[in-house]
Amino acid sequence: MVKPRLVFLSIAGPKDEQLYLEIIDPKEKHLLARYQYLGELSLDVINDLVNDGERTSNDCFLGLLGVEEDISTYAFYSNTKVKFILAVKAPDYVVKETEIRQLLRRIYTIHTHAVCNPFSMDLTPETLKTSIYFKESLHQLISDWNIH
Amino acid sequence: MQSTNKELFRSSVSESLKSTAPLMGKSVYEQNLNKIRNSDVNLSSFAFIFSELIQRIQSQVSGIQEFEEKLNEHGYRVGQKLVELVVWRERNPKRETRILGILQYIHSSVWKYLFGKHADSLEKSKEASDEYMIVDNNPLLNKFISVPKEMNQLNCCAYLAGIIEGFLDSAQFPCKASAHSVPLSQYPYRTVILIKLDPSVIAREEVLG
Repeated sequence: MVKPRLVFLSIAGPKDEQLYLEIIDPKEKHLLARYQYLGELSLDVINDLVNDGERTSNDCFLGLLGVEEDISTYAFYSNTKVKFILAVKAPDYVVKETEIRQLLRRIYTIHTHAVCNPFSMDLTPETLKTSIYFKESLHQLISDWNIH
Repeated sequence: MQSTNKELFRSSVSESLKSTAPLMGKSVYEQNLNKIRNSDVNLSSFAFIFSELIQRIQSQVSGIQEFEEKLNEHGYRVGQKLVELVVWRERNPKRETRILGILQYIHSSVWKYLFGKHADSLEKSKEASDEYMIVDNNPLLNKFISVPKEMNQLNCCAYLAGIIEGFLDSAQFPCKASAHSVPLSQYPYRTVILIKLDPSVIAREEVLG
């Protein structure tokens, strides 16, 4: 089994405003519009999931949202209503969900670390873009993922 | 955010002033001073309060030096009260009268009380005989703080320096304490608390022999 390749990470705030978008492979920068579209699509699915009255689980990890062609999207929904959308591409369509869960939890942790900075602004698109800690930690997570 | 904070602050104060109902719970002053077990402050709670303190000071000052002075002042008030509290909770309390003794006490007992571990090292300055340094490789105060580029001279451990200064002043070792970033490749947040003792303390030390 081959480990899935990370495609992009999108972070949306409590009002579904996009706070951060990281396209993992620099060669795919030209697919920005498509990935933004996928992010918006995932937000709709997330809102349906969390507003479902019959949903019994309170887990922050929402699991697989959907598959668009060859890209699968997973979501993590924090207590402060910040949504973390991670898109992966698996050649054989087999993904270990526990690994995705762990990775999203680590991303959530470094996000919390970054927004706790008293010198950063309120949670705006600028906050994470200007955070050196967040960028370096995220790139470290990504390279660790690619190695193991 | 600022206006919201101020409104909340005003409303809570006025509400408590208007209220005539007796307090349901115990006041802080009625709590048992000897209660040590399970009395650690949660790191998240402290990080939040400290963050609000920094944001409040930032909105009041216009320079880095003034910023550090205000942080130092807030820490000073904590340090003044810490002398009696930490000594009282010791199993075998001892009254320190020598410079090295009180600094080792801060290095071990006070740091243990504040952060749950000892400070990383205690050093004496080579150039000046009245300067000592307490080093912390990963200060807990700076754990969630990234200082922006335009104020990279600022070290929020000035609050900790204020605690030490207040502690030493109350213990009859008047001094000036300041926090300095001395990063190493392994410890990017390494902080040195520089303690400059008053000449009267040095003179007393010489008399004591």
